[in-house]
Amino acid sequence: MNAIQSTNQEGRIYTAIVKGAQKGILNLTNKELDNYNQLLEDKRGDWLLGRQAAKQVVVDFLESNHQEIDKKRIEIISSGGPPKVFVYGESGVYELNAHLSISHCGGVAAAKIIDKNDVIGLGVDLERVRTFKDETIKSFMSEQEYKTFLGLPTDKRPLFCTRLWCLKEAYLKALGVGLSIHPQRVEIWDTPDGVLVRKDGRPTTAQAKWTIEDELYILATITL
Amino acid sequence: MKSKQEIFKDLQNFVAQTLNIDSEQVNHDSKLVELSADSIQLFELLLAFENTYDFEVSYEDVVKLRTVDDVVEFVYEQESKN
Repeated sequence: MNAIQSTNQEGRIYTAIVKGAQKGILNLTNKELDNYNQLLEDKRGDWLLGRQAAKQVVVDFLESNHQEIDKKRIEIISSGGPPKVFVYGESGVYELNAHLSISHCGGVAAAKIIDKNDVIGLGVDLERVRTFKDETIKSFMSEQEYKTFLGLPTDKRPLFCTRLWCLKEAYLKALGVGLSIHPQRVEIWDTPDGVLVRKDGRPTTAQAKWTIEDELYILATITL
Repeated sequence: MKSKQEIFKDLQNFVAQTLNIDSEQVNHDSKLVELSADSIQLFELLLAFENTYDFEVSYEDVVKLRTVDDVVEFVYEQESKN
């Protein structure tokens, strides 16, 4: 069985982190099962973890609005853009007016949800802290970021690279564009007031947060 | 000029090597995002496409390619122009 490692509410965002090996298909609707069956076998475990985290935050979100629902009556459909949430309620099916973002990586998944009336976009990225290839580093970092990277001691570089990647990826997910925008066009600035996100050289209004989970993973969250 | 099937065979090996997976997992309708372990690996695959071919390829070109067959068609079209 999976362990819902943690759930929390910070401001108006609900978060769930799930860890472990999935044993069995739980709570999937027929459409979700079709999606699942189309995946390569070694992708299915993490995908299911992501679904479990996602359905947990949807349940938490609905409960905060005094609505209780079984996870089997929640359907999450991803077709290239941000995932959409459909709720099979008593009076029919409706699309939930909430931003949902899911990320999974090597046996861990995270999902966050927030009401669409509160923000215009939400993006989450979860990655294991790792060493990046030189070519990748030079390709995704801006000139300034690369200068900062070169000034770091070797043992600090994997965390720096992973954090930078996560924040950029979370921002692009919040925009709903993914990698269709080159990550080099997004710049992450660390300031005394927090993390600032710039795109094409201009400041954005993105709110950025990041945490280290289990000393191994970076979880980055961007709201717009 | 290579046929589409030859391009596919080359691509199958190339993608498998770049992503460190079995070439049998790389089929005509395989989605690049699903073959990749994560977003970093997908980005590295797109970079590899950009850097591999003799014809000019931009990131904006490769990022639109969703499946292996999309890449085959793109490469075939570009090589036909040369």
